[in-house]
Amino acid sequence: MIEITGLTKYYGSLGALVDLHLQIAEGDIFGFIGPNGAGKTTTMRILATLLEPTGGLAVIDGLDVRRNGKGVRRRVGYMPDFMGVYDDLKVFEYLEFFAAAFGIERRKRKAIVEGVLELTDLTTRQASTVDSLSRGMQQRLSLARVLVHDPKVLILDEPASGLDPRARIEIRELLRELKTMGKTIMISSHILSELEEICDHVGIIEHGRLVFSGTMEEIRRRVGIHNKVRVRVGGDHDRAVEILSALPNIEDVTLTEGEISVTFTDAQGAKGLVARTLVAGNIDIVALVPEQIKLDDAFLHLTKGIVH
Amino acid sequence: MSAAKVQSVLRFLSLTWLTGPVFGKELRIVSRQRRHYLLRFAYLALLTVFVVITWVSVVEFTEGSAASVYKMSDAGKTIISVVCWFQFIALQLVAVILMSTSISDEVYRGTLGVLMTTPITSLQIVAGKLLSKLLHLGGLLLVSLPLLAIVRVFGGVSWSFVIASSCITLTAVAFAGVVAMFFSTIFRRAYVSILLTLAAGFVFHLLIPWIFGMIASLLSLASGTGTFTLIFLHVNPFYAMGLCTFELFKPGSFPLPFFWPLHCVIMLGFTGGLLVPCVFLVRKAALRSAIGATGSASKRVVRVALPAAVPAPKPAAMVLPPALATPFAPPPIPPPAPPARTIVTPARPIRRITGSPLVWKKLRTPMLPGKILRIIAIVLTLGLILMTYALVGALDGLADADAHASYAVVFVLFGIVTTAVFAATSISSEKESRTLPILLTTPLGDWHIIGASVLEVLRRSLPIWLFLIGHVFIFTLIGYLHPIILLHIPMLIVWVIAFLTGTGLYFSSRFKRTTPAVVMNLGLALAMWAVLPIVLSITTRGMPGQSNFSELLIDANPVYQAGTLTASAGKDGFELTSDGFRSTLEYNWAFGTASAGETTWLMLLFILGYAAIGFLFLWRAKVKLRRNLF
Repeated sequence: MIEITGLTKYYGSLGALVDLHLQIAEGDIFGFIGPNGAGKTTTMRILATLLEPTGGLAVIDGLDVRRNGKGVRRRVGYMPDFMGVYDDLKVFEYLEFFAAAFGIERRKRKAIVEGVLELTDLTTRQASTVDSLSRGMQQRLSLARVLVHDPKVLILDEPASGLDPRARIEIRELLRELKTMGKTIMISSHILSELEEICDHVGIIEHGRLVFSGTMEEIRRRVGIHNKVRVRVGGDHDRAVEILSALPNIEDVTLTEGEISVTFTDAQGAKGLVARTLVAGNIDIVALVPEQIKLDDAFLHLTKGIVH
Repeated sequence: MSAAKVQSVLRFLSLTWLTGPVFGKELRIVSRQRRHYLLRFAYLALLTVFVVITWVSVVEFTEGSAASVYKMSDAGKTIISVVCWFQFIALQLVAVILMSTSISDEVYRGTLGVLMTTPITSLQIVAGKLLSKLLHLGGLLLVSLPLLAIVRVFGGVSWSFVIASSCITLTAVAFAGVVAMFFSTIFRRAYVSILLTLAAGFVFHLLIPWIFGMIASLLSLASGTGTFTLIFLHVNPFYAMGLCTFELFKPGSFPLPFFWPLHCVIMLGFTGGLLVPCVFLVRKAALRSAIGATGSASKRVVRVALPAAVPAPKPAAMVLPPALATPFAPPPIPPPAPPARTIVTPARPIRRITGSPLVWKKLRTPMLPGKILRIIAIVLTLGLILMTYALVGALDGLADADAHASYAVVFVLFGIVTTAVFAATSISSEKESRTLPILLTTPLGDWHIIGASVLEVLRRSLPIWLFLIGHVFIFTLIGYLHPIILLHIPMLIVWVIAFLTGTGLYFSSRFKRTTPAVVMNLGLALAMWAVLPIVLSITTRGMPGQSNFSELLIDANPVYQAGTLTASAGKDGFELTSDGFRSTLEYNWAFGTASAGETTWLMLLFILGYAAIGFLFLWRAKVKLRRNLF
């Protein structure tokens, strides 16, 4: 659905994006992660036709964003990292304004606006002026705005920033709901754990370059933490360490506060091998869990903290 | 005296107790902003141009030595008075522009609420901002002192004039600045503060003294006129400056006693008096900012505390767009304990959008924010205009063509300022409210956005132009003006709007903030219609063909055109007989005399020329629309 090839954007001599390559499949939720100034917002603005790239190609639903700006705008709903407010418009008027801007016929607009208001749980505030809404409500209104023209692709720049936990959960549920409707969603956020829960794929960008793109499983493989198994045993810890150290493909075995951490050079069947070996050695297993990777950990592993 | 006492005295004298750290912060910001260096450069460049123009126009080098010495003394007086008047007017304008964003900028950046959470007082914020800007402006004033000292060598100019005019200028600048700051605490948009400050200046400095003068003349109050003059001399900086200049050329010839230090003290008193409401309004603005209400104070929000258990009503059935028709599963989290809820009651019903949404939106942008403010502005304006008509009529002045020319000039000036301001803020205000990037992600075309902005400018500025149209229409019906004026004045209005809308939208598209866009558009009008004709007419004196060009530039000035068109259509130029009009209309243009027909063709040429330039700027505005967004 979204295909980025060699995308480059320079601000003077500063390279905000350098040869970015990215693909997002239809119906995916794609998490876009990176430190501040890494180039996330620039990429999103280019996809939303707000910035001209210096070089490269960005295609959405088969349309080049540079050449078919108008067609791309009809297919994309862009939610920036700020709330643009017409302070003299009411919530309903604000949404109808954008519905009309997307060329939706007048007779259909009322039903559509009421629909997105219901979807974003803003029906009771439809007569309030936009600038009187709380931050969370404004974010929901922004989301409602990008939905009025029923776009295939949603580009959401930090939609949950500054929201309280409840509002964040609401936004997350709403995004899941939108995924079930078949929308392709590109979302950037600093709250990495939230992306982890809803994203099919993630892309990590740093210094204008994509340092990683793939599924969570691929991240685990790339970072290598999935080769670890943590074991708690009843009885002789030192003997358990000794037995496990004798296994083939073992890189490291450490004992820390009663927990044994086993690192394999090859993860294939690691969990089963550890279990079988300990049982054969007559050692009681209290707990055996493969190491779970957190997106935050992967982010720290894959990025160097370089900021423009 | 102990060291502690010395320190406390020094602290008192340094005024830090009054300004706090705000003063230092403002000075640091000024020293880092490029626009302030540009402002200083532009100011000095303009000052130099004025001095050169005055020099060239008053000094003839071809005469004998005795005559030259006499001329030099005369030239010295003229140059110094021009410099002082230039500073007097230019510094007030700069003060208005600088102070128009003083508080609203803090609200826009969300820093006012933060300032209020520190021990810094409202007085320190207000005084710190005002004094730092005054220091900056005082620096501009000081820049001209070496020039004034040099010119004094020619003789004929006393230091007392230089000192008096500098003090009058400084106190007038302080007053203009505090008025702009006052409006800045109430209105978020800088252009609203600028417009209201200019309008207030016009009313207080020019209109009210004029009305009092007319009343005194009407009542034949010879002694009363003197009293009025004496009062206005001490409370009106324009009167005070005028008298100082008069005294420079004809010392001791003014019959009334004028003590300029008293005038300065009174002006400082006014400034201090207006600081008091500013201090209170700053706190209010900070509170509004802190709760997120960024609109003007006139916004009506009614808050009602409801019992905690009142559930939010949900509509029974909703129609979703086809792709969104999947039922939405609410998030699996328990509902929070509802606090006392706040309901913002709608001040008006929801409006439905018809036609182009952008045109719909733009045509509903009011001329001034806030219903109450609009009503006050309309009532005040109409009241003052009607009062002037009554006074001029009572003195049999309405039959005088010059009176109508004066009205036309004032109305055109107002029209120019409002059109220039509204055009310059049309797109930049969308950038400030961050709605333009969102708008640009819709399929609305760039020309569509520019076109809607043109309509917005027309819709907002037309009420001001209607004063001029109404004036000529009514007085044509009465018989004081020839009906041809009903053709010429709309032609003038058309080209002024076409030109200023084009240039204004270009600057609006070019700059991120409204204030530089407004300043540039007004500056361009000033340069084209005032500075350039004067400079060219003097610097190209004697060159072959220069006369025609500078005359054309003078004739191209809309204010000059308004005066000429109206004065020439006055009662002296025609007679209404039973057979109809017997007309001897003659239009005295700078390039020569023209008939009504020739004038119509000339106006048509102006329409074509200025509209073409305006369209060129519109095209540039369209090119720049998607640039410089963030």
